[in-house]
Amino acid sequence: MSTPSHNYSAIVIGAGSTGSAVAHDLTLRGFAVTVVERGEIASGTTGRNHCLLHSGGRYCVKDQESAIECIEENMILRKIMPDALELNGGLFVAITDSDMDYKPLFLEGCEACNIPHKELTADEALKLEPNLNPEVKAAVWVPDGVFEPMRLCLSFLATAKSHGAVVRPFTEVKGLLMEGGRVTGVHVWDRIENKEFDIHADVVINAAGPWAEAIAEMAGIDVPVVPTPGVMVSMTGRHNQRVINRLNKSSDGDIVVPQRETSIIGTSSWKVEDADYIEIPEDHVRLMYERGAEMLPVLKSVSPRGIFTVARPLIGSRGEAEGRELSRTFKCFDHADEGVEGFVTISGGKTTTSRAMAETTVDVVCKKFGLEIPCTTRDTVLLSYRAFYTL
Amino acid sequence: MSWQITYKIKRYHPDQGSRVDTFQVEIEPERTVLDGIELIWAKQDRTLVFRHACHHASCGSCGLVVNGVEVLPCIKLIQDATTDGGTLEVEPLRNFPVVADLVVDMAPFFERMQLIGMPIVGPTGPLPGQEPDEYTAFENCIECGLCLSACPVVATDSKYLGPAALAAAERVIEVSEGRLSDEVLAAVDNEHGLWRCHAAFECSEVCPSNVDPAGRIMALRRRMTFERLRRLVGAKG
Repeated sequence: MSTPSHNYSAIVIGAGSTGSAVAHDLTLRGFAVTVVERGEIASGTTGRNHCLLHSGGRYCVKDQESAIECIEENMILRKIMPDALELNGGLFVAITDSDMDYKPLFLEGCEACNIPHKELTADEALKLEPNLNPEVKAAVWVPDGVFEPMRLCLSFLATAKSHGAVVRPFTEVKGLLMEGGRVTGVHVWDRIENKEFDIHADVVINAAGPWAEAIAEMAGIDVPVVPTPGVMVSMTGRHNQRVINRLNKSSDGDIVVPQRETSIIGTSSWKVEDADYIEIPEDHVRLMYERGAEMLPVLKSVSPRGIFTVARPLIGSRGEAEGRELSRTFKCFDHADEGVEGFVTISGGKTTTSRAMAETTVDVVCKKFGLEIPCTTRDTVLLSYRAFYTL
Repeated sequence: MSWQITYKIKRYHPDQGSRVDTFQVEIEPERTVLDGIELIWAKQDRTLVFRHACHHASCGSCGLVVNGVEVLPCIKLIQDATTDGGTLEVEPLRNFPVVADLVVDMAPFFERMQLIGMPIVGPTGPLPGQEPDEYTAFENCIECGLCLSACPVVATDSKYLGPAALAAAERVIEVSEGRLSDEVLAAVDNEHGLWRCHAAFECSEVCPSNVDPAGRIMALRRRMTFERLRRLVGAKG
């Protein structure tokens, strides 16, 4: 396939999963791309996430739009990203009567959202996962998986680099260049060279996650991003082979994600103003141990290896819905709607849906330039993350 | 209750050379050495550059030398690294080119790992109830570079292939149940490869992921020695 020919250039702010996927999609659609990231690749929200490749099961009852996005993207990433995924499946487990009451709703939700699933008896579940609470009453298998968040970003970026993208970690945006009502580039601080300079482009895409609001403010625009952290506790040793989810409505400590040599209990939800450094509430950590051990009692007797937290960039109005109530879907804002041309913000969403977020964003960008170039990221197998360093 | 910790961080800038900066940090003992560094960046010095992403020993990006020992600061709790009122001396990894402050250039390392071609994800061992090709797991090696930083041979021989790549070669043979390609064999079976290691075992000591590079290098030596003997006997017979 030949690269579409036009001479437009784009700057992507942020090299988390969203910015990385956007950069990849833009290069495939012929844009000359520069990615600027103030820290290391994936050093913000994406790096510190729970590493769950969602099947959509978590959202299939209350937030079916998100659930459908998740299962579609889960199946696509399996095909295009072989180096960044552990495909180990997941179980939703019922421990209490209340969990059993939720089970029919969950099964209906899986059907409605086309999530492959299989009901298991308590014995079958215990045979698959011997560390499960012996009180387990039933379980449902779904195609959850696990990713390595930094490698996921590096795979997108390596492929983008192979198509000409310039990726600049440790390059912080200090201001947006404006001409009339138009954003024409970014003023950046190169933190390695300790130099400030301008980079110009035809369009600037704000994929700064929980920091997207601060970036948009530089153009005088208010973006309703609510930084909503959650606590995760990485335990010593891996105590489950599959993702273990609580078969009930979303709540704190309702999931244990196995990855490499650890089981990670998560998560909680609250709101913060400043996402740069987040204090970890001690009661949230205690709750993780308690709730995690309800599903895997062995977690009571092992020590934590590390505790971490980071803010999700959820979309919503500040001061309104609580973190749990905010939808996990994403939204792309073309700021031409507020009278500022050449500037687009993408926020919300999840790492699992980063490819779809990029597709939507680059569709918006192409439309701004009157370009009709189809998205091809669904079928483009990505390079290994190692190529990011060797290209 | 927070502890008072002194961080002494080695700084380097291409134009300014090296120095050590001292920061006083108030931090809970249950948080990590990496959290303290991020806190310094967030509240005290925005010019500090360091690498980090996953904060749970999966991405392999944050490796540092802390109080003289290679660690992943993301899983080194403050209470396990020092005491209340204690000091943490933080330096970038040894034996890598320093880009700035705590950031090192990983490109030469990844070129070697790519040459050896260790798979990144493989099938898991047989687990109860698994469909054979349905489940996969990441290889244990997170390619963090701690083993190269700790290796006394890497420090003196820049051409030495290094523990991670040699362990990867052994792993390639293991997973493919076969032989190395001629190109990889040439890189492994020479004076800057397999036979250069002098069995200090520092690599296995610092490995955060139970790869045991030294053990794998010894296994690879046995394999190669056996192969040479077999050829020798075969030639005579």
